[in-house]
Amino acid sequence: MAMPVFSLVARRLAIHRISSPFTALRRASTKQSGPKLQIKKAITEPAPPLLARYPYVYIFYRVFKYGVGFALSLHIFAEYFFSLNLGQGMSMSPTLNASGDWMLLSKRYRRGRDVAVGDIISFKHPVDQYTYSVKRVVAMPGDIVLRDSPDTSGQLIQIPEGHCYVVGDNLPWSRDSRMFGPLPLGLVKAKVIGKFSTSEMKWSSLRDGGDGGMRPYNPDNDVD
Amino acid sequence: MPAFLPPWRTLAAGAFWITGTVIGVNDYLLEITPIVGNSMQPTLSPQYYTTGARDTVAWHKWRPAGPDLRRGDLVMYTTPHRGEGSAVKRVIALGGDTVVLDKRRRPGRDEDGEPKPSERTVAKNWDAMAPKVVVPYGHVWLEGDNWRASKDSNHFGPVSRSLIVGRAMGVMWPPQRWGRPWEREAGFAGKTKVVKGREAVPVEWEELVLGV
Amino acid sequence: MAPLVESFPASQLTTRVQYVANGQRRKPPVDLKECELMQMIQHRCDLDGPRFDPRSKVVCDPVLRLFRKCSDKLTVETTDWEDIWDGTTPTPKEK
Repeated sequence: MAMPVFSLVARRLAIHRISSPFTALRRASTKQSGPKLQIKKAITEPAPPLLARYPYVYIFYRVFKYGVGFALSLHIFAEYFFSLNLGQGMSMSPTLNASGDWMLLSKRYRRGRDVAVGDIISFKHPVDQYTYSVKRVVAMPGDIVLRDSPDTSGQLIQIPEGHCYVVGDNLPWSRDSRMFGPLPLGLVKAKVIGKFSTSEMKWSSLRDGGDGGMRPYNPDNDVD
Repeated sequence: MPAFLPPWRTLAAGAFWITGTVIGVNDYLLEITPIVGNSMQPTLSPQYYTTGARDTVAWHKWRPAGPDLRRGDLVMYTTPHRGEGSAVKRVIALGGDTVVLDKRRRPGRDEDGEPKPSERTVAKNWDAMAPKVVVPYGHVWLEGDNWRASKDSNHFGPVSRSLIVGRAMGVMWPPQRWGRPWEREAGFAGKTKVVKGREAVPVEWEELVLGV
Repeated sequence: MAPLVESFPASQLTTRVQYVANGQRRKPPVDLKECELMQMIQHRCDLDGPRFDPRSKVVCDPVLRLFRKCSDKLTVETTDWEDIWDGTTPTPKEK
């Protein structure tokens, strides 16, 4: 049965008090006698009797339903696809600034899938289960890396299977694997693939780790 | 169903609601899984390698490792030695406790007692921990009831609470095993001794954990 | 924290790199000098003024870390080793 679009919309919102020329026409045409009247009445009544009596309840129910639907979609998207987070603290300076940097996180890298040395990741904290942290990966399973900061103990460790080693770019201000040891890959939630700086109004990709990422050695960059 | 809604839209809407709700519930509230493998025998799935019969357990997934986590609870956790996949073990000790290691559980040998070269490093690490381990803050010590065949804290050390994704509520199937068999059976009697301690936030983590 | 990991100095690096994490030997043996030399720059940053003063700026000194990437599955930090294997400044590897 073809329906005029206007009355279809009016039905969906149950605001059946809005009359349209079409509804009036139909109402007029149902003034017939006998069973036909009953059938037509059932088909053309805009909403069930309950909803006709409590239109506000019905509107509330619709709003609530769409609200829950939206929240569910948002949860699935943010949990399994992408999310935007405002960081951060000074532990990742100068790559990610203390405030005003929005990070784009990709959840495809959950559990360390496709994560490489030099990537910046977001993970559930191994000591405080109610916190998430963002740090740079400096070693993956089997790799060998300095246990402490450069120019301190000089001790190297080999990362056990299933773990990585994370160190914040701002070495003196960051609490990371130098304090809590190798990080289980199962705690990795996302990779930071880009940031938007509100101070510079500029977007930068961090897919390859940005300026602090791992790149072939260039003697022009030698700093000592 | 309102007559004016085309069937394909109803199907799509229904699919969205069912999928969304299942994912939401599974992630945050409740998950039901079968127990395969023998690391928790005889407590769970005791006939798994003979008849293939397995217990199906319901998991509480909302804040499973909160302050109400008890010694003796069964937990589902993401394995530290392999970031994908989860396993089921028993919580033997909490942060602050001292675990006196059970020599029978030393890694490095397979079920028949033959040396296992792929566990050379974990065996060395176990020896370095022995005879006692103090479980750090925010971590737990996990062990499988079957000491002969269990990859647990004896292999990968204390496990962070953040890795725990579920806490066992009860066996759902088969009906004869309904309930909490891990508590029913004359109390759990493993040989690993635990000296209970207090789980205090270490000074270096006070700022993060307590926000001071 | 967990798990306990044994540490060693850079002087043992060429021997230790021949073993994988579980203790077994790598096949074939690894020669670090043949692996691509990589760098990563981290920093030592501090505020040049009082903490809650909006005029205080973050000032950073770069810290160079050197690595040898032998394969997708093996990256080794050689920050403390590059100057002991033959005493010369490392040169970028020709591709």
